[in-house]
Amino acid sequence: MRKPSKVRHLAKRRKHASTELSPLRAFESAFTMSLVPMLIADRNGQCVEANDNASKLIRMRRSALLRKKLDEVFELPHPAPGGSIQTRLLGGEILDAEVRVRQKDSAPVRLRLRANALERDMWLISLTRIMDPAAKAHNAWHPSGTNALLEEFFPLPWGNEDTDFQALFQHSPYGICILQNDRIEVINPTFCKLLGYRSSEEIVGKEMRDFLDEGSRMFFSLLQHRVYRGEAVPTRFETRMIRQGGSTIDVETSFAHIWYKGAPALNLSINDITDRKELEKRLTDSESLLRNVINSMVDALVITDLQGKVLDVNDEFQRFTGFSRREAFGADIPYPWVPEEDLRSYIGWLEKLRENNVLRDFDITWIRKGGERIAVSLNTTLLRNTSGEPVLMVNIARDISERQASREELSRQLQRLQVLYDLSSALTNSLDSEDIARTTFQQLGKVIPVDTFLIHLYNEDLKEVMTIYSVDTIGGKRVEMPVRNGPTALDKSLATAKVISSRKPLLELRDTVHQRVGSGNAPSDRSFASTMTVPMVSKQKTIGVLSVHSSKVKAYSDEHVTLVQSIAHLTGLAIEKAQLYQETIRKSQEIEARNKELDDFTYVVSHDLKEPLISVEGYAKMMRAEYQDALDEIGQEYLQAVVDSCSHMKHLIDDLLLLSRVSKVSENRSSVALSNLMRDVLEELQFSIREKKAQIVVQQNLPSVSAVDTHLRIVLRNLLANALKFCDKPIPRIEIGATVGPEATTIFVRDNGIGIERAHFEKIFLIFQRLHKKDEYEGVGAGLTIVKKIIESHGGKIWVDSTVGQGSTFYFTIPTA
Amino acid sequence: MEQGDESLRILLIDDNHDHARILQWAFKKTGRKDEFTYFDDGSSALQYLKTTDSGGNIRPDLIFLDLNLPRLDGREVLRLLKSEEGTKGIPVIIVSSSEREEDVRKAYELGASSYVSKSSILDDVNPVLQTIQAYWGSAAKLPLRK
Repeated sequence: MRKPSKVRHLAKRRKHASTELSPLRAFESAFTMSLVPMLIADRNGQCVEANDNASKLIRMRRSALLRKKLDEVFELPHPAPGGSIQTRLLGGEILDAEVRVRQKDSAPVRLRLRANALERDMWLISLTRIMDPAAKAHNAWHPSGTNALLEEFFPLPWGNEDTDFQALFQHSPYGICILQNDRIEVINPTFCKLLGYRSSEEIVGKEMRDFLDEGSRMFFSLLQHRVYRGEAVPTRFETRMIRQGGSTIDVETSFAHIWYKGAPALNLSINDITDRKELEKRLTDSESLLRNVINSMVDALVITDLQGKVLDVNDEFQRFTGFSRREAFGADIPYPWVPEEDLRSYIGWLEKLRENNVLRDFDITWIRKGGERIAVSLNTTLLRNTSGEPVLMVNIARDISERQASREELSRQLQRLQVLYDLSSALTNSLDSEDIARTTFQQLGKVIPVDTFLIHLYNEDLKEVMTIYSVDTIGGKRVEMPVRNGPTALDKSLATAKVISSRKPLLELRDTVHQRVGSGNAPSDRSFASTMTVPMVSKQKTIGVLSVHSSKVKAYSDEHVTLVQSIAHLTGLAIEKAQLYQETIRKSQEIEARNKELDDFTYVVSHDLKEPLISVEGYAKMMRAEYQDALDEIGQEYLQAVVDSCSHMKHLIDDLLLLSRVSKVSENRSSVALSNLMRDVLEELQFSIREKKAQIVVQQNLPSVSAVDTHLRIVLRNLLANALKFCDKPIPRIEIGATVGPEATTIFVRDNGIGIERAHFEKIFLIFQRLHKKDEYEGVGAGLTIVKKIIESHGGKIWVDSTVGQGSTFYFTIPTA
Repeated sequence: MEQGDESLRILLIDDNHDHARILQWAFKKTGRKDEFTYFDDGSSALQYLKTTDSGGNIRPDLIFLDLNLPRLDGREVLRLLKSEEGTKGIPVIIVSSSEREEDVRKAYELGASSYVSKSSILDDVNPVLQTIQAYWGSAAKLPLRK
């Protein structure tokens, strides 16, 4: 058996030495060299010869093939009409049938088997592979696929004496003609049939050019001349020929230089490729359709081989990633559009394809050619050929960056909302400015990059700023900085001053950072790439400034400014509230201290006044006792006036002393039963009550209250005494009752006395206020003041309702026990 | 009870001379023959008391003590009297112009036998005397009284 290299060698030799071959040698070499798989079988159907291509097609070594019978190699379709191949050959049938060849490890191959009878009960069997369109498409598409469509007729020197070759010539499925000087000398029936003529006489003797389409003539004659000159020509080329009636036919043509009747001639074989052209056209059409579909896809498409080498991409891929088809073609993993950190998971993803033909929704990041990152959802499909073997991977990538972006935006918004919410609830609970500033910083740090953070308070009246909180990043750690300085005058050159005067946020973004050498630690001494300064405004006044700095370039956006403004607003309100609270605390402490001072003063003064008073009274009494006889009646009267005045003054002083003592007593409160207390007080006043013939009505089951026993006693005694005192009715009537509330109990003392003008409802509680002349109603005028002070020291209120001439009702509240 | 009618040796400590004078007068006015020794400051009174046993000074039966004294405060005088073995047996009656609750309570805590306000003595000395007599009556049988 000859190897292909020898075949080529032989062809070369023939080209140069155009010696006339013996017919048998010619047949043998043509048989061997032919690209058409051919066998020769004897009458028993036994293979006696096979060429290389037959051996290749059947996938059986030639030596093995020669031991086989045709029926052992080929299978007729079932049911086979007309029996086995051998019986049909013996029956003289010219066999043209579809057969199948069983091959090891793969699907049976469909073949067209044509048998032509040679001499001596020998048959020439030629084989053509029947390609199904899908397989053809695959072969056409696949660069490495062997083009099995191509078959070739073998060139054959013509000899009348050799009937074997005549039969071969006559029955060849290829059109064959011999040209000499462009004149058609001989044709076979197939040639005749292909051109649509009935007999060879209509063709033979005519010039070849008459049968060539205008578009093919030039090329054909060019090749013709090259063959004659012994130059290389394509083995096969396409020619369009004119058939009878003017229609055209596309044929595949091959030339061979031969000797015919002692002169150089061309052996021309043609093969109808109309079907193939049609198929190719359809393929081209479907391919371009497919291409259009692929390109019109809104998703990016990447087709790779099984190793991941990119075979094709669509237009969307180019638009989406910025990589052109040319750049993408042949790219291998790692692809430039898959980020390094995602590579491992991407490969893992592809490996999963071994188990699944389709993988869906793999979220991955791609990098555009410009470096921009895009979120992508990947679907990958494994494509298999007709035999079921995987051949390609198709990746479809969808841009989900918008979806991702809106999702991220949503979560950002939520986070901001959360921060504002956390901040406002945290701030509600704090009344300490530093605490508030710290909380603000902590919350702010969750949403924006912060290297330093500062809160300054601004005093508009004094035009002073004071740092109340400062955080800096030192060695990568955020550290609270001590706030050393007190208020300082506002430096107009600082951003803070600008923000204070404009009440508008200030965003300063630099592309580069100039770090000052040897600068201090204070954030204000350094310079940052990004600085945001936002005012804290309350009631149209700038109460402070919040500033954040970051060493990152463009760390803050306008959106951040809006957020920080909201935060600064909350913080401002909280700080203001805290300051108000501190101020209130300070004032109330001040008032308390002042009250205490006043009480102490009152006490000391009263006490000091009392000392000489005791002396005056004492001497007056001594004088009255020892020198009564020395004084006349008027003198004794004067002396009595001194004693009376002393007594009055003593009462005044005692009341003042009492008043100074009742203020801070709330700590000694206990549960006091009002009914017991009333009984004691009525007993104390029994003399007056009897004297005035007063009617006292006390509500049954008076409740208990939380009070200082002795003080509440003073209150009731004073109110009852007043009710008895300020009465012009023959029978004074006094009612005492109480209503219990959850917090406070309201107690009333009602009389039918002289009543109080509405204008005096407040005045009566002021110290030493008398509405009447001294001789009308005795008393120093401190009683109700003491009552009021006691009630207020218990956290209660006292008020009066009265109608002049009808009586008054005093109400007061005291904590419920 | 007979002892209550006896004249007592009373040590009076009060910085206010007028008050001291009026007090002595009020006692005398009732017809009693009490013997008053008067000091207008605490230190001299304490000095005097120190010599009662050894130096011939007569030990008083009763001490009237004002609280509001210059330099050595009445409360401090009371505390010293009650901490000294020689004086702690002598009853002390606080005679003060203050009627403040805490002053009264403090006085009793420090060992005062009674507390009377100056105003009330002026108004009526009898309750004071009754107090003294009551004390005297109950204290008569105590071994301290030599």
